[in-house]
Amino acid sequence: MRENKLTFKEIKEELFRKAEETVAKSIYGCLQCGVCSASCPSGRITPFRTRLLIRKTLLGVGLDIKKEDLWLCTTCYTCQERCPKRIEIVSIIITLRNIAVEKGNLIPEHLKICQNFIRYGHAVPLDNENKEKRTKLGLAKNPPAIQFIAEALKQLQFLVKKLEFDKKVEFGWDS
Amino acid sequence: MGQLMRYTFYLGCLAPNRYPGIEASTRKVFSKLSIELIDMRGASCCPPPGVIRSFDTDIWLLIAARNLAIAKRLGLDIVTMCNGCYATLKEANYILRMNEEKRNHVNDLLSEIGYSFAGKIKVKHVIEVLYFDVGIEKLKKYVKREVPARVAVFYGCHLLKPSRLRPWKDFERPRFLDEMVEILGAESVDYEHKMMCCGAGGAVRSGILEASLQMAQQRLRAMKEAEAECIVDVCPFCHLQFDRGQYEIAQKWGHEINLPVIYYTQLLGLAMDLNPQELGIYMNVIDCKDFIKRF
Repeated sequence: MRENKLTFKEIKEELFRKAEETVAKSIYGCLQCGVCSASCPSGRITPFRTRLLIRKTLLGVGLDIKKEDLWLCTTCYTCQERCPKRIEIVSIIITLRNIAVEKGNLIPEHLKICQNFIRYGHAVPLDNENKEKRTKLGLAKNPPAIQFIAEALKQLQFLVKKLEFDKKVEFGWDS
Repeated sequence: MGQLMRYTFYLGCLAPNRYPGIEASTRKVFSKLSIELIDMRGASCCPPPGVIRSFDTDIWLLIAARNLAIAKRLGLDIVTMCNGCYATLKEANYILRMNEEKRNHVNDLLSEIGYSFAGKIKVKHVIEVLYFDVGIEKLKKYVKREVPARVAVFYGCHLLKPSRLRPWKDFERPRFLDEMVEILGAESVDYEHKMMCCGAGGAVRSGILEASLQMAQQRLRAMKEAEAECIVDVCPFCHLQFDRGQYEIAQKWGHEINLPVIYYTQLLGLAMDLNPQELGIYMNVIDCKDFIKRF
C-alpha cells in the first residue's frame, strides 16, 4: 500500500509541476486555524477535513490519495474565500486529485463520465427522452453542439489524443 | 433603446440535454428582451470544473480554450446558463490571458485544428446579462403579471466564487438575485444555510451520490421549514440536484419534500405572461402543476 502514500518530496514536486507556482507556494502560509473545515458544507456530513488535508499535504505524511476523502470536496470555494492566508485551497485539492488520477485512482463512475466526454464531446450527452422534450418545446431536436457535428467531434478527439487523456482513462476507441 | 445586444450562446450539457426547459425559457425571454443569441456551432462540454478538471487540468484547459476560440471566431461575448460552465470558461479565460507559457502551448495545439485563443472575449452568466447589461429597471417594464410566491432563492457556488473573477464581490450575503425575484412580485424567503453548496459539484454527485444528496437534503429541508413554495435557481446542475435529487432522496430515505424547482428565466417568463408549457416548467421530475395553478 506504500505507493498510495505520497512523501513530502513527491507532493511538493507534483504540486509545483501541476499547479501555478503562486498556488503551490500559498500552502506554506497555513496557520491551521481551521476556518476551512468550519466553512465546509461537505465536512458537516462527511469525514472530509480540509484543515487536516492541507496539513497532511504540507507534511507529506499519511496522505493517502487512494482514500475517497479527496473526492468529497464540492469545490464550492467557501474555504478558499475565507482563508485568512489566501491559500488557494480548491486549486490545491484539484491538483491532488490530478495526482491521484495519474497514479490510476479513478472511481468507476468518474471513468464513465470521461468515456462520455471523449465519445460524445459531452460529460452528459443527449438521450432520446430529451430529444422528445426538446421537440415539444420547439427547440431543435439536436442542439448545434459537438455531439451531432462529426467534424467538431474529430477536433476534440484529436486534442484528447494529443494530451494522451484517452490513455489515462483507458478509453477504448474501437468499442 | 441602445444598441442591439448580441451574444454567442454557450449551451453546455445539462441545459440542452437534461433540462431543455431552461434553454427554451432563456431563448424565449431573451428574444422578448430583443437580445440576439448566436449559436456556437460545434461547441463541446465546457469541460466541468469538478469532474474533468479534477482528473486532468491540462485537457480541461485545452478543451475550454477550444470553446473560447469558437466564440472568438464569432467575435461576440459568451453567455451561459450554467454556473459550472461559467466557472470553467471564466477561469480558463483568465489562466490563458495571464500565463503566456500555457497560452502558447494551447495555441500550438489549437492551430492544428484551425483555432486560436486571443483573450478578447468576455464570459457572462445569463443572470449577469440580465442584471448588468439589461438592468433591473428595464427588466421591471417587461413584467406583465406578478408571480406572488414565496420563493427560496438559490445562487449556487460558482456564480459568486471565486470572487476575484466575478462582477459581484459579495459572496457571503449577496442580494441581487433576491432583488431579481422581488421585481417579479415574488417574496424571497430567508432560510438556513442559504449560501451553502447544493452538494452536486466537484465530482461529488457523480462519485459519491449519498454524501451529495445529504447536502441537498439539508438545503431542501431548510427551504421547506421557511415555508417556501418553490426554489428559484440559476444553474442546471443545482436544478438537477434539487429536482431529481428530491426523487432520489424519497427513494433512498423515504423523505418526501415536494418542492417545485424553477430556473430564473422560467419565473421571468411566467411574469412576462409566457405559457408555463412552452417554458418547460412541467418537464421537471417534481410536479409543478399545483404551484402554477395559483397564478
